[in-house]
Amino acid sequence: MGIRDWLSQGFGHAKRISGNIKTGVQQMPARTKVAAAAGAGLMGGLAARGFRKGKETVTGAGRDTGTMFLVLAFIIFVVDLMDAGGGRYTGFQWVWGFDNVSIITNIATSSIFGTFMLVYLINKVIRKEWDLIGYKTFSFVVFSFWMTFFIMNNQWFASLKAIIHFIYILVFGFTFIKSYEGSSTAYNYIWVLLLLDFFGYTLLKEIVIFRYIPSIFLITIFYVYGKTQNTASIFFFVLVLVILFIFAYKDVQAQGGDFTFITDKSGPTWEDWWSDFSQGIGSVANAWTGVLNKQIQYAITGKVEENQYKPIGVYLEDARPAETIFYEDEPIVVWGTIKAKTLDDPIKIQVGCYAGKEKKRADKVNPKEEFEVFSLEDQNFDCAFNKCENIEAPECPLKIGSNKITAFADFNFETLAYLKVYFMDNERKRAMTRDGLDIFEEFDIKDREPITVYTNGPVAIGMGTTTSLVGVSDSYSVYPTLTVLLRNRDDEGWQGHITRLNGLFLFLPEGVELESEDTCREIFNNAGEEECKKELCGETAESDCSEVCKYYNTYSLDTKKLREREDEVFESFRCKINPMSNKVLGNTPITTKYFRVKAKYDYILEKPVTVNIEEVPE
Amino acid sequence: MNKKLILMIGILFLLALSGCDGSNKNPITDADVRKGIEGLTMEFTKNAPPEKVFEDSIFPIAVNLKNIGASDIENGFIVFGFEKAYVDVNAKSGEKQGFSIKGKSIFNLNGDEEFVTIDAQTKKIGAQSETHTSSILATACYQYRTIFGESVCVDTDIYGIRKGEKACTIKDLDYSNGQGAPATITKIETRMLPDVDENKVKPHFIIYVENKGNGEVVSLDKVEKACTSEALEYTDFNMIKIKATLSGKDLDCSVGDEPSSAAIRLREKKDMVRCTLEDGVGRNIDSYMAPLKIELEYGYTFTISKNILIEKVLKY
Repeated sequence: MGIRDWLSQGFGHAKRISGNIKTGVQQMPARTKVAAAAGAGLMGGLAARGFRKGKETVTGAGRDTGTMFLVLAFIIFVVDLMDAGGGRYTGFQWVWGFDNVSIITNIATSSIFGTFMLVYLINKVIRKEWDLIGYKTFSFVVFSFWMTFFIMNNQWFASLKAIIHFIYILVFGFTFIKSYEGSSTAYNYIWVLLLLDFFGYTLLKEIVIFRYIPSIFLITIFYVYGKTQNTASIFFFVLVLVILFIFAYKDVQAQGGDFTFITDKSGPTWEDWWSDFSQGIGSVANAWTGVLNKQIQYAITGKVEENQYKPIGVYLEDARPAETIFYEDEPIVVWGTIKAKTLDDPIKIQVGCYAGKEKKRADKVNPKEEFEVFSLEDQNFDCAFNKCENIEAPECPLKIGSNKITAFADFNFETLAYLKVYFMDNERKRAMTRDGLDIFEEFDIKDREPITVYTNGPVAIGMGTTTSLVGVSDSYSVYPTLTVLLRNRDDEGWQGHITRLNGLFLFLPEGVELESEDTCREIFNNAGEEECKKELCGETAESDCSEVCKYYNTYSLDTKKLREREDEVFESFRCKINPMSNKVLGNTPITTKYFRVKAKYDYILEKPVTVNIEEVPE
Repeated sequence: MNKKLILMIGILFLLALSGCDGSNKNPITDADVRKGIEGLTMEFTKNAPPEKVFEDSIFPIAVNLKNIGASDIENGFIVFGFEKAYVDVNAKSGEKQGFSIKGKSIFNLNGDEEFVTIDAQTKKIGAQSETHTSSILATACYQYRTIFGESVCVDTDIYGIRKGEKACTIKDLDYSNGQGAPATITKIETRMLPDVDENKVKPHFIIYVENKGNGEVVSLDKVEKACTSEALEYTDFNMIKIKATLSGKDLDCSVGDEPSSAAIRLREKKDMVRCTLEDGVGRNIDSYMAPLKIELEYGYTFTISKNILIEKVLKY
């Protein structure tokens, strides 16, 4: 069964009508067919003389506008996910428990509903249609009822996105649907779609997959395809399937088990959507290659700080042999370029090459000595392996044939990371939560779950606190925690590894200390303001940078006590922190602070080069 | 034929329109100032703070406060929140500023507005960073009042026994447009309750209140505290004091025996309260329209934010 059949199944009835429409259009005079094709709008639908469904004229004039509505529905879907324009749009909550009889009475006796009825009656009189009791009248009355409901209870006017939805449904109903179903059925479609769109999300949101697919988009796809067999419907449907698959896969990955819908209380914003989408793709890729690194705790993650002008780091580029083929009696030369970019502190780089299992170093390296890069430099290098007296001897690393030489750059580097954390008096936090208030919404905070930002380089730093909003009090039964995670970015194209961790510094915001009884205190020592100045502001930084250290408590890791790992330098620390209410909280209801981490390490960047050695021709 | 008719109607319509001079000839006293669901509005002025600021520089922050509600604000507060590692208030300015702004009245149909301006200073953004995005928050806390006045029907003939036409009949009243304040009365249901004294009836009103504004209601006496980092109890949120009179006589809106406890506690921004005229009204009086006045008193707080981009001055 193809996608076309599948799409059509849901709208079997629609397809049958579509068949009728075709027949109807075929039966039209040629002049009318042109009108039906061109008159896509409301008036067009009225003007065209198509076939009659019941007592109504149904033209199918919306055929040409199907793609337009699909695109519009997709745009609305994207706009809904954006944070701008009042945040993620997820409709409205249907509140149970109102006096329904009273609501119905108020609507039925309202002047708005009366106006609808009056207009309908006048229209009937003008058209000389005297059959007041029938399907059309019933549809219009119900339609008017719900329209009055929406107009009277007009708080949704405050949401621009809700207005866009409302207009879209009206236009879609009165043009496309009406052209296929006639006005009576269009009335019914419109009020059902409006209710579904406004209140459906909150009723279905507990099922995770519906967080991503808006009803209005899916309905448009199915309806347009059912009526027009529009190819664009298939495209959008496939897009929906891909999205569903990726999110489903991401959720399965998150659970580590069979697929089930996960309940979630918050609707995702565009950023969440994109993040989840990326994670989903990442999960698929990892599963495919079978290299999912179980050790990396994705809960503690981070992103690389974007430096638009200067991508920081050390890069080994264009490493290649000097000749395509070397003969056994000549030195083997490999060259390349080191590009190093840093913003403040200089980097010391030692370049070289090695070959063979014994990792025999090159006999000549240029530059021989370690060199410093202060800001942005390109440095060419070359390595030469002298010819072996006896190329077959075990001490000779390069043999006849294809050989691998590894060019490397050994350098000191450092990565800085920061994490934004919100603090609030715990009592107030509890009071607001108990009262059902969304604290982030109350304080107009858009960045609800800040993630760690770290500078570019071969090592990633992830940080996380117990929650992004830490409640502060004078005493804690359970202390909040700070987790720091270091990992090699070898899965992101950095070919190398840390050879030595020279230092790790925690900069906790003023008023936050490591809990005195915590095991972290055994490996983290209190560092003074001088060390903070040196590490946080850099050796070449201006003196006024030291002002910054007033806002941080600095701790340095005792690297001697650090356990060593043979396979991978990968460390994580989980420390209890003690935010002191009298120091952390400022004069404002909510306080934003930053946790910072600096890691200093030696790193070896490697790049393999293949060289071919041949015997000297006789 | 139809086109001619439409053309003629169009011309007549244009003629009618041309007869209007566009000015509002309604007398000023007809203007209903107690309308709308907003009290104080607040927004950052354009370029204050600017979108982009260099590190180690001073920049202005200006907030435009408008009182478009129907109540005056006395001793309101606005407090600015910064990510102090990156931005701090300049020494000369204060994080917390006071303000008083008059609301709408028949003499001032738009309400007053005021600008609160402070200077802030950016700090270093970190050794290896080129830019940093920082949020600036502005939280306003103020006392506000909602005043509702309407004529309601007092029908002493509870069971409809009395013959003859009544001057008025009891009906439920809906108010969706607000009363020029964020906490609004949305509906009033009137009931006439029989009294122990058979010669009297007790007018009884069910008053529906809703916070339709963009902020939160706080207790009247916790307004200043709401603009600090101090602890607040959950009972400090969503509390509104209510006072109601019918023909100048106080209604009892208290939940317990204590008359001073006449307060509403909003849940999910809504609640209702029952107010009764305990003295009652004589049954022998015919139905009549009586002025019902309701006053809600509360504190209100809301926050706005703006992100700024702090840029490093690159020297190469």
